[in-house]
Amino acid sequence: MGLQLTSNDQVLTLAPDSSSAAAGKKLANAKNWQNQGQNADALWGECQGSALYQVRVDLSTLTITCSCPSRKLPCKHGLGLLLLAVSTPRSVPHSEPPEWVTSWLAKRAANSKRKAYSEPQKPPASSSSAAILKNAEKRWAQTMKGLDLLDLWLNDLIRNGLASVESRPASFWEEQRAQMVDAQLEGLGNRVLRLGEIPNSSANWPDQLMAELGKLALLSHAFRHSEQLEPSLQMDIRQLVGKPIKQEEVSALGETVTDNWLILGQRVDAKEKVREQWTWLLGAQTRRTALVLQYAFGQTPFAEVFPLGSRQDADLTFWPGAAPQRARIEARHGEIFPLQDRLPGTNTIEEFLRQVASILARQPWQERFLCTLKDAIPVCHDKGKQGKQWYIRDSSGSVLPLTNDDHWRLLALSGGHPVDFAGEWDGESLYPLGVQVDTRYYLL
Amino acid sequence: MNAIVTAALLGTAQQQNIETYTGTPVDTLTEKLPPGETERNLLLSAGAWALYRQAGRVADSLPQPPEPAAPETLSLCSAELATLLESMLKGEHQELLPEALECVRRAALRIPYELLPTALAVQGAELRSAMFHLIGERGRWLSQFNPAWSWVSNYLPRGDGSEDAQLANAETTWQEGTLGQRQAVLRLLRTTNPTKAREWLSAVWKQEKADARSDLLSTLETGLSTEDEQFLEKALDDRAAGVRTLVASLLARLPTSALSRRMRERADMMLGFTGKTLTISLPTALEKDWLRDGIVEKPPYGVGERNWWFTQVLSQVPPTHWEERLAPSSDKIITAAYTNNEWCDSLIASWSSAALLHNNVAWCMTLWDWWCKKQRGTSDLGVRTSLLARMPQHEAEARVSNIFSDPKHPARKDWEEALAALPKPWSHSFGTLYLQQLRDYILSLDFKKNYSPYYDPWYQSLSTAMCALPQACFTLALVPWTIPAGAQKATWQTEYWRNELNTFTEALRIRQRLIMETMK
Repeated sequence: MGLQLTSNDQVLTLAPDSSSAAAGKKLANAKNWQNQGQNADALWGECQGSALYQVRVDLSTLTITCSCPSRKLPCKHGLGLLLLAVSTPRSVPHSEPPEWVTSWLAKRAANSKRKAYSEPQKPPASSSSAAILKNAEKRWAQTMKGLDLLDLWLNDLIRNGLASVESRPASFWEEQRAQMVDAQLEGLGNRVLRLGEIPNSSANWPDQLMAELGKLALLSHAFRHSEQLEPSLQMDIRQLVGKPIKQEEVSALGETVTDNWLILGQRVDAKEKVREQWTWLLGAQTRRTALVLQYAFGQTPFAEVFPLGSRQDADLTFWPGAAPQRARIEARHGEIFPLQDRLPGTNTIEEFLRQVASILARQPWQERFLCTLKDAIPVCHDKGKQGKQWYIRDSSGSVLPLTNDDHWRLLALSGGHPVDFAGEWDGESLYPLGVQVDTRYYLL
Repeated sequence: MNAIVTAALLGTAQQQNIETYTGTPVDTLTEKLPPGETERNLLLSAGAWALYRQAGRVADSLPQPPEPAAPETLSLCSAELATLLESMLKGEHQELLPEALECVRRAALRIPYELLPTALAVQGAELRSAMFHLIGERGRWLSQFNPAWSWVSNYLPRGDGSEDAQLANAETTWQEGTLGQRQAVLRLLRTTNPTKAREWLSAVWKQEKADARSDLLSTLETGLSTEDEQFLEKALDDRAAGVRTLVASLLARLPTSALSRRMRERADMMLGFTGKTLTISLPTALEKDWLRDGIVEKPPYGVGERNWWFTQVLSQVPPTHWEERLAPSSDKIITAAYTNNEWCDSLIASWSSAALLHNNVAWCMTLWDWWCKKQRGTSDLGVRTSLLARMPQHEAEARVSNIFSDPKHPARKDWEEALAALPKPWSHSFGTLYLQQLRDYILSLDFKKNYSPYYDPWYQSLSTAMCALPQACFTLALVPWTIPAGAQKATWQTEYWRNELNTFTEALRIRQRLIMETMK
């Protein structure tokens, strides 16, 4: 590529002000420079000022850095070197860059790669519509290639038998995930990674693994045949494979629901560098369940603050989908009140499971469900040597298991009497979020 | 295992005909899959079947829920009080917990339900016996589910109803309860009907294990009388040495008992008085009957066995016996002991034990005063502070204030230990004196380089004072504390003092709130 500028005027448009331009011109003389050179990627040189300043120019973006203390960008040294290279190319010979240039270029390349990964869909502003189309086609091809790889991998697993995965190292799953991420199918990739946790995790792990593999295959199948599905389900599938819906699309396509929202509980996953927080809301009138996801890096606080155990009038916009659940707060209205009344909820577990089934019928990959159960009794069942099993029992005698922890606070608050219970159901067990006893909501 | 999972486990490469039959409506779906793509079809069938099961999940049932907790009889404590208790239970100003629990118990209040899991986790018999009264019906109900909380069942619920009904209840507990509960029942009964309690114990005596015998026997301390002698004398033939020693110490407390007489006779053979000096003749061998009376043959490490037997006998004999036999005043006898270099330590240690066993306050005071003067004899700090704790409060306080008011007092070392042994709360006058002296002392501090608060009894005494100062002294104690200007430059020593004084005033403020909240 090399230096694409041909005239001094082009260089001078980069100058932040006229005094920098004037000072730059003064430095555009070979006698001010040493060790200068250029190649296809960069231009560099050292300029003797109050100290020896090192100037580096990334020719692909015309990014200029200089070790001088000036706050002007670019500084006079950078402009001077560019002017020198444009006006007298002979004085800036083509050569191998020194280490201080190559290391800088490598760092920039790594940074830009990271940037590209986090903002995959931002086309360069100057691109023509043809270029955008071409890019889209390229990405599509990449995605389909990734999908082919996944299906091939799945078929191989089944051909060779699941018994063989028991001895697979973590990298077996991680590599497959990385391939999915490269193909911009992060959602599928994450599912692959979670598969790796199943082997040997319980006695019936082959059953569980095959169920998850099957659901993954269904998802890839559904994505391949999206056009046969309802538009709302297409939205879900698109998000599930890892092609997120942009906020503007949510605004345009999502439904906005105004209600008095009960803020029932929250969980935070801080395993990764980026913390994920999910908050459960329940509409007092509409009985709609909303899940608000927030992300924050490291210790930075989450943008939206939720007073748990309270209710507030608010407008929520739901992500478009066949069984919309994820939502964001559009606007809050009025005061925040503590939860004092009985929770709206189902009377029996059977009724709740029917609700789950009807959601699954619309969106088969839904994983988390809010369960609010009226007149529920927490039970600690002693199984002797096998430890304790915790349940929630409804008024008809049906039970669902609670997560595999101790739930002493819940048990103390209920005392074996019926209470209104809120929890998160993952298809296996309930994670208690809170409990309404008399006029108070207790977070668990 | 289902056909699909079996096929997948083995791998399709190994098999001819792959069966995906599930016996569910899923089969009509899988039939429509195009033939040929064996692996893909197996996967899709598995997915559909998984969803079918997920959506069709049926809950288990549990016909009989456990018995719910009974309604509460106590009123709930205030939210403020609950917060105070919670922070103490979680380790903040833990030292105030005994007082706090006692305050709440006196006010007949219970703690809120959400605090129960934390409350039931308390450690130590003292805190548990106080906590038991605060957890209410719900706490007792909750404790049955967690083996770590089984200590609750060792305490007796508050009795209701008539005396007869209570006795009937007590008998049921005695026959069916845990060891802790039976011990509690017996101790309670000893206060009202000691004969009945002894009869209960005597009826089961032979069937109980040695540990249980010891635990149950210890309740006879309550309401001990000559009526118990016959049973105890028989119990001296017990197989377990630990039980025999316990029986002997009970019998020794009865001055008219045969064992007490035997002990006195043994002691008289060994100890005499010429009017000026004490004469000691140690036993040469251990008689069989000594063993039966609970004397332990093997001495602890570093003690000669003849000396060991001698001190054990002497520890059982009531000090009044020596006043009758050797000299009319305890002071004269103890003076003589201190002139006997060889046997002084043994004599003083034995007499101290005897004074405590027989609750002889006069001897406790004389022994303590002599120890202060001589700094020898009662080498065991625990025994020494027990002597102090046995005295009437004003006597004990006067002795401790003598030490800290006098910089040249011979017993000045470790006086904060003596302070800690005083009954709580302190008297108003003692508290006031302590606070004045403390203020003077802090003003005199010069924080020389080699000064260390760790070895400063005044610094160490603050942790005792913050729990022991009576309410009447709070105002005086909360007047701001200043650290002398001589220590302008902040050193680690001044920081230590500042922090400790902050903790001190904080604790007093918490106690103030505690008292206010339980008075409501």
